[in-house]
Amino acid sequence: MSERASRDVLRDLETSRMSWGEVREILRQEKTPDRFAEYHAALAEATPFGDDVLLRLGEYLYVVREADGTHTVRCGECSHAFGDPRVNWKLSARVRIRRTLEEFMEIYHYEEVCPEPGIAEVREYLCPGCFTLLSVECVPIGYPPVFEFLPDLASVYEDILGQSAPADEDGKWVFEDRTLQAVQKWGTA
Amino acid sequence: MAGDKLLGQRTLLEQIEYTDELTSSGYYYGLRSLPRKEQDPITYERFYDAVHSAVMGARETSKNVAASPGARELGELLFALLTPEGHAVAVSSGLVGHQGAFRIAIRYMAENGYDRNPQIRPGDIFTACDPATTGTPHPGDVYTFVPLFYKDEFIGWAAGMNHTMEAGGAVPGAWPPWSPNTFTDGYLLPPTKVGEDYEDYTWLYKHFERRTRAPMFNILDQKMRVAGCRMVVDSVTEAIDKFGLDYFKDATREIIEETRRICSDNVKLLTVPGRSRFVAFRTVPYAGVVDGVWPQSAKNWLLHLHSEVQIDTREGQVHVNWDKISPANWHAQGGYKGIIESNLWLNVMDTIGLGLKPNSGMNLAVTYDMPEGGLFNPPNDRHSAGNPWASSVALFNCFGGGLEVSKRARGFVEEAWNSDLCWTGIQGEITLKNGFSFGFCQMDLLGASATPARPYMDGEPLGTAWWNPSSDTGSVEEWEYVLPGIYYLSKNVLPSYCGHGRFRGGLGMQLAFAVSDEVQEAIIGKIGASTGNYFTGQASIPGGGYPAPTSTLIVYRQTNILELLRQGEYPGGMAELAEWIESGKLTYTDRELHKEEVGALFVKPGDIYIVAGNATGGWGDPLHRAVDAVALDVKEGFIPASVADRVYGVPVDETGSATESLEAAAEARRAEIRRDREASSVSFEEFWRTEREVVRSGELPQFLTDAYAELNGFSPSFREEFARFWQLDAEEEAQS
Repeated sequence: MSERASRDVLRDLETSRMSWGEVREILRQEKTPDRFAEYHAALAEATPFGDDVLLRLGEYLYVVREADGTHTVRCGECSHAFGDPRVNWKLSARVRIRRTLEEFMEIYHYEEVCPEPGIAEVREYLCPGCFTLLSVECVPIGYPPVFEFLPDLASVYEDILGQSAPADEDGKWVFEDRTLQAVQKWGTA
Repeated sequence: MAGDKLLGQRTLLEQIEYTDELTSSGYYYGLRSLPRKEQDPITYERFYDAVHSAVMGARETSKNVAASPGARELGELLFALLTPEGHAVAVSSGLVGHQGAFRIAIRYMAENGYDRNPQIRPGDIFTACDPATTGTPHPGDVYTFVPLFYKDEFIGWAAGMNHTMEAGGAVPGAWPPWSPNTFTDGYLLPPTKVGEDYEDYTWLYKHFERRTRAPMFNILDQKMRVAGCRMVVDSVTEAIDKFGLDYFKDATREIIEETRRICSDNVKLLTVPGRSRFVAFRTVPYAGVVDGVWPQSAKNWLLHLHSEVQIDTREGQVHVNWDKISPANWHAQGGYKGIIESNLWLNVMDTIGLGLKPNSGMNLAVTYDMPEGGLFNPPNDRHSAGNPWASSVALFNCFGGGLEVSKRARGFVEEAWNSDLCWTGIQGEITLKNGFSFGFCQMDLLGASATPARPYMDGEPLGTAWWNPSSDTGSVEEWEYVLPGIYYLSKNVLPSYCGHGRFRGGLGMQLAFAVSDEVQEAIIGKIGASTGNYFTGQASIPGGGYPAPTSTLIVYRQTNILELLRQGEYPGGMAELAEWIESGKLTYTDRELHKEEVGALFVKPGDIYIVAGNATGGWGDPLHRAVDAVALDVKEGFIPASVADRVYGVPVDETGSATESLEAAAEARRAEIRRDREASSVSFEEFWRTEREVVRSGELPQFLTDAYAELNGFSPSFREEFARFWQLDAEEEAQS
């Protein structure tokens, strides 16, 4: 296979239709600046969002351009909206907590290699729309959720797409983590 | 020489300061253009090929001249050509990350006036293994430097390093996990002249004989490093004869600047700008181990290994922020700058180091902040660096994870994996009944880890050791020869020992051993970055699959295994041993389980110990895994049918037969699991309210209360985020 990594090639790669030999050829090819556009084209076909998909955030989550010009994290399986990409999407997920050895062994099979009950908890973050497993955390009890990826959308537009940065309600889109402000809204009642 | 200083007009320290000043321009050595490359790229590449061949040839030859099995079998070594300042120009394959740490030893020699005393002359040999002064991450990694002179002009260094078999610490092995401070780490040489005219001084070998438990292997390794450095000197001298000294001086600087540019361009090309965070947790359980002699170490620590990666695609710069890392403390899992420098470049190589000549140019495209007093920047030089590879590999997996999500987002799917892979080490000391005693490292699980899952394929068992692109697991025969008195019972993958996902992680390995009756007594230890102990490999991973399970050590005391072996019975691994125990065929008195790192465990003839490690994490939701792939896993024995049903929602029988009806059965089972997910989950806000009460009410176990208090006390940014996330009032914040 000598074809460069076009949208079709990338789609085949992600749907595991390729042999290891074909994958190796892609690995060895020169990396070129057109990849983001090719991948975007592949995502536009593979997700429910068409050209409105901006960026892949995770295996099932995408940053999507909304009709009003804002950006939202959405599930690629069911389109469920998780909100502003600057807020950790986990705050909008369903979560299942495993705490006991029996619950750990359902996943890790052997008692000898399981996390420690009473110290660790395994959090399974689920899409509220389709209950796809989006992420797993094994953390100490009481540890805040990990905000894994906060893309700088202004730079994505300006540096990668060569477009002007998007606006938000306050004017120019600001690159900042807004998770703590979101939690604040829950109050402590 | 043109002057009476080592570099003519400059001392070694003046040369380092001169180069640092030039490089502060943002261009290595102030090179805003690459004239040698631009004027004649073919000659430029031929020159690089000549010096690269010099270091590759040194590696491939010297390990067969003299070396321990760690170097010869596993390829745990590296040779390099360095500038006078210690910046790597060309490195061999092998432990390539160390290229970043060599300069620390050279700077130490410069700052301490080594060019006057003991002097730096042709044929001199300098060896170093003190982490606080030399850049060696831990005392088991030993560096040797030989100055490179052309005619009478000092123009650089040949460097060789390898991971040695025994470091002479308080507990046997090369990574002492029980080491409260630097004085229990082992024999530590600051950069030391240990020979001249390419011949080691006799005292060095006597030192190895007296201060280490594997003197023969340490002497062989020293000879290997010297032989390889001599080869580098000779080969580079031939290259200079051919290309000219001026060309050498220009081109070596340009090669480094070229790498800086490519690395920076790769950031612009391969990544998406933004911030990523991943975290791993490790434990250091010392309470009850060293309390009497070292009360400051009589604690159990939780290590917070948090990496924040900031990517700037406009400038082509990556910055790593470690402001939330745990503080340094009196245990062996901390370290000095060398562990960062070694580990960082390994990860840069594997993430954004595509298509470049690996050398010190990478060091300029990636910057970092390790806070004063942090785990790898201790407040003084008395802290241990016995075992920093255990904690730091987990930390740097988190760094790698940040780049992996970013590369995937940019569309470089083929380059992404979840970075959740680790190593396990077995080490110790054996005393045979004839009185012969020796220390060892056993590196089966150092030279080969399973690979993590990728967005398009499963991980593979024994597929890689990213810290060493030319690694190998070694042969059972080789290790039995190194460890007389210990019998291998099995070396195999352990079914279902992985993180699950749409693509599952590569299966980890299980090794089972019996202590023979040739042994009077033996000490074993189990260490490594796979030792999540209370936790998984990383807390969460790119792709969202289940992270890798921890490593483990299981010991069966006073079994009848030696009698069974004499009868020709030979167990195949953990599962068969469990069956033998169930049936009464295998008897024992006690069973011990150690998920934690173990420094010294005494074993006797007839004891069995099993080590499982190096499992890796999965990618995506297991319910999205192809049904026929799950069935094949069962058929091949990679997962049992119970896991196929419970985790993957594929109710396949033990034969793994994939039928049309299986697809329909899986669809129904998966719908059932999704309904169970719905029923057993809550909104995050609801979880937050419940968990917040646990944090506020003081219901956390003491281990975690202490851990959060330590972290909140050391890291202002962690304290602020922790308090604001749980909305703690001032009193509650003070308590946590």
